[in-house]
Amino acid sequence: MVRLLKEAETQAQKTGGQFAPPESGNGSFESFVDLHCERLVQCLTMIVLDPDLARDAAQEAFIRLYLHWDDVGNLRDPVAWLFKVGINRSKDIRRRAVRSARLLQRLSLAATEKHDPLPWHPETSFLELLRDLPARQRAAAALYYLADFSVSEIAQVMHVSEGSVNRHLFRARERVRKMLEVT
Amino acid sequence: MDKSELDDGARRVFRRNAPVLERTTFCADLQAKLVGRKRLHRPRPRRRLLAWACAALLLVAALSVGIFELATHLPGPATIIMITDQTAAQEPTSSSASTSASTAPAATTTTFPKPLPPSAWPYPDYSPVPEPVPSAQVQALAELVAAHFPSLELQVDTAAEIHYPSNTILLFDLSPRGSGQAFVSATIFKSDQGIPHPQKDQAFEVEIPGAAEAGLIERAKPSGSGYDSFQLLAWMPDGTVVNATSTRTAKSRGAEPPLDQEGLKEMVTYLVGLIAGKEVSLPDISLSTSTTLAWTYLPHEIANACWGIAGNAVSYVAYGKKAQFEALLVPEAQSQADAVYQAERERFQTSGMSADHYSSLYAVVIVQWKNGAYLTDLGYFTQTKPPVPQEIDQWLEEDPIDRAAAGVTMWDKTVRWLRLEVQADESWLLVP
Repeated sequence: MVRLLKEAETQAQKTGGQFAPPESGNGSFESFVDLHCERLVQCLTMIVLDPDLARDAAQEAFIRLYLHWDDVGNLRDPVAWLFKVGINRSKDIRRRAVRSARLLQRLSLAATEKHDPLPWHPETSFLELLRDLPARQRAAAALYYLADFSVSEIAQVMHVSEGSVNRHLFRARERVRKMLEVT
Repeated sequence: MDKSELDDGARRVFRRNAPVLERTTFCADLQAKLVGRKRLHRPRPRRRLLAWACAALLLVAALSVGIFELATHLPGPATIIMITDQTAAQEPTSSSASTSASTAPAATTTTFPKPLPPSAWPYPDYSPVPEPVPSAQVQALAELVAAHFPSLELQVDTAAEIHYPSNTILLFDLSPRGSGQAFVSATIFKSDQGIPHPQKDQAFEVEIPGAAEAGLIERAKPSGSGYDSFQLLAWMPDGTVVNATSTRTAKSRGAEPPLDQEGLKEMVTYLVGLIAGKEVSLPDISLSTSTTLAWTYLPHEIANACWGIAGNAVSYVAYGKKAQFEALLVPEAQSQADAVYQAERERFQTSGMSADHYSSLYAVVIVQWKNGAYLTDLGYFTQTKPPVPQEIDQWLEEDPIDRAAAGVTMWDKTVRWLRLEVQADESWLLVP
């Protein structure tokens, strides 16, 4: 996590001044978004395997963060809170999307694309690895390897025990080992 | 490949395959979504805690007040029943009358809203009650009693007779000189049923020489009344009841009732001795047999039925429910039901009445002619004769048993009198 924060801070310094949410009384929210938006979208993409859905979920997580900024500021780990909300929102959006798709199918309508799709071209073997992993192992691996969360932080985000996180990580690691050995 | 090497490799693979986010687009989208959204400002934890503490404190205070009020108004196990004269109690015309008036709540609150049984004398059989008439004989009796307690320096405030159709009550009030808030009073009347039951049930038996039975009601501080009283009733073999009370009001805090229990017993013993030994000349208080006391006031089942019919009739007219209104009319008026409804509707609309006003209607007064006097629901005490129109008076008098009238005060302050007649099934219906 510390490494991630340092990386994000560096990136934010490079791209600073781009974001100006309305009625922002102080600059902490903007810098927070700058620090964590990319990693959040990347993690969510790996978890839900849908970059557009991940982007929408990340934005909704930031909106909630903005609305509850006063409370979140008092949390022990606001980053964990953000990722937790992001994962939950992605699940909600997926459920909503499935329902909408069914409805559109019944009405014989085609869904319209609202945004430009987020480019994501992972290696085939990596994509197969992710698809093979169960959702919880995928989430634990993404948070561990990409967001650099500790086991306890992952447990907090996924709302499971640290033992469960270790088991998920162990199994994910074994799959990664096989993939790396093959490649 | 050991674990750390594996983790480093995995980390590299995950980073390499992560999507690239266009931050500018992401922030622009987010900014667009945040337009019009306001942060939810919640109080800081300490302030929030303070707010919750205040709310809890207010809740506790409200609950405490509620419980206290409830406890205050709950009838106690030995609620005092003060037998006092109604006229003196309700029509304070002098300083003595005002002291008597202060005893009225104790007398009424304990009997509402139950109908009084026939034995609950001396409540009058009609309303309004007659005026007390100053009496020299009662004055002489009161002065004798005052002289019997020289240390109290009692003075006579009231000495009167109250003439009812059925009998006469003698009444006197004494108060210690200069106290103003404490008094001793007594009523003397005849009863062929001993001590009235409501009082008898709450009294403990005491021995009074010359009395067939006697009971003392003690209640140091009756809840809600603000009085501190003792009451003693003695029934003499010839049917004479001596009802004496020693009272102080809440305003005379710290003081005691002028006579304690022993003093009250001494006073009643003295009075019984005077009356039995015929040492004083008193007005005739013998019971009249010309009047039957079936009910003291309009029985509640009748009052409630009439009130319900009158209230329903007004609401049906107000809300335009013609069929329901017509169902309230007596069978013989059904042929003209439509005309009656239209007339009532027009009358009510002319008075400025509307459905919105229905809940603002004033109390309904129920009267029933009986034994030459009006009966009124106990819930609606009237101190003066209700202004009943002459035609209603006459109509009631023609059949005093089966007829009643309900006066509904309308939105424009006029009173609409509705005639009611009891049916064979004891229900009450409207007579146009």
